[in-house]
Amino acid sequence: MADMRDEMIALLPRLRRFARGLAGSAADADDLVQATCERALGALDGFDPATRLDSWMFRIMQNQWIDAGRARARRPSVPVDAAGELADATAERAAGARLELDAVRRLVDGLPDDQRAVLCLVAIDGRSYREAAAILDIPVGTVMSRLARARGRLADALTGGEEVSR
Amino acid sequence: MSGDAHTPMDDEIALGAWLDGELDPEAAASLARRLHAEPTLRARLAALREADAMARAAFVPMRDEPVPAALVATIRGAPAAGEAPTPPTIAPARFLRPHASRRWAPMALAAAIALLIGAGGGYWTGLGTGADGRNAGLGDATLAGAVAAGSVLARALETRPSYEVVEAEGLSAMAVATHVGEDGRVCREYELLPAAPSTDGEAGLACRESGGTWHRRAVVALGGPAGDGDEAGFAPASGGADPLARLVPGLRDATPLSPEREAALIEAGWPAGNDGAR
Repeated sequence: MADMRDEMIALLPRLRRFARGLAGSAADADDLVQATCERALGALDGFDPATRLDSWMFRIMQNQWIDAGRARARRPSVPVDAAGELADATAERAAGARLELDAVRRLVDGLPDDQRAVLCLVAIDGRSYREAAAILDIPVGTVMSRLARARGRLADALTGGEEVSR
Repeated sequence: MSGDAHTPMDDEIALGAWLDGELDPEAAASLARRLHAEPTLRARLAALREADAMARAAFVPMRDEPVPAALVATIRGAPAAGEAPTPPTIAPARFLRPHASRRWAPMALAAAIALLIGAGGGYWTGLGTGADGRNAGLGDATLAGAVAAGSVLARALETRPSYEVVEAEGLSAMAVATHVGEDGRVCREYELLPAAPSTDGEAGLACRESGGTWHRRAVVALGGPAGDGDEAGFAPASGGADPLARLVPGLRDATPLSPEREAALIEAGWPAGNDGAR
């Protein structure tokens, strides 16, 4: 039990990053992490020590996010104006890398929830397709297609619709 | 988006799997041949890789941000449903906030006892049974547990009021209560915790001997954190229910000294012959 709590605390940076990807804003993300930790602590009896604590908690977070989504008014979808974002990103490239990364965050935030979750798990957290599928409770094939759409939209925005053969 | 209009979904998936190292060897070899032959596919792979790199760059640094203390407190502090208030296996806790007026739950503490110095092989058999507030078997327990002069614990015991932390040498020490027995001997309950949260700390009772050295009279392995939100699991800070206080020689009332009285004694250098008045 003690070890598990220590492990949970060690996981917090990754949980926060995943939450940031899911929830969009830093404040919402920490609320989500908080709710996830509370839910996990209340369900420790249900944790199988033979499985990975990180996957278990990511899955709880994902479920928490879905449940919260049912209760809350859905956030207005941020349209991914790829060309606009590209112009922004290009201008901001001169202004500084930090602003550019802000633009990337906005692009990620603008992805549909299900695509964003997969992108965060695989491309950002480095989880395998199989692990991501287990966390999200979806088939591996769905992981692959959602990931491809998410990445494709980011790549499109970053290349600004130019001819890809450059 | 025009950029991927000519990139079939299957190719997008395959390129992504290539980046993720998820292609089986056969498919990877096949894709490698196509990449060699198809510039547009190569360009698309580069764009996807760039997208990945940007996403990582935007989010990965979050790992290095400090985690809000409230989140750590949630995990440390909140007992899981159905969990005993302070199970002995739980662990190394950080101190509660210094101002928190925490008392141990007697039964939880008794359960947490891993080591009792000078108990003569006995356990806390008298705990909870002594209606007169005395410990049945341990009242005269003595031990050779001198607290090293100048150590973190000695400094906390000798110079600091309760709930004020002394930190040094990778240890944190604080007194949590002060008692004065009938013979005027001063004893203080304390907690001593290592900086590394994976190591057990100790809680104990140390009494000040003539000459100014402190001697441990009882030590228990300090288990888990006492949750702030778990007041029900803890005894009130008064009355005779404090098992450590029962080890104070001649103590009839386990209520600790008031902060004012305690501060006065510290200021005066723990004068002998105190009558325990508060």
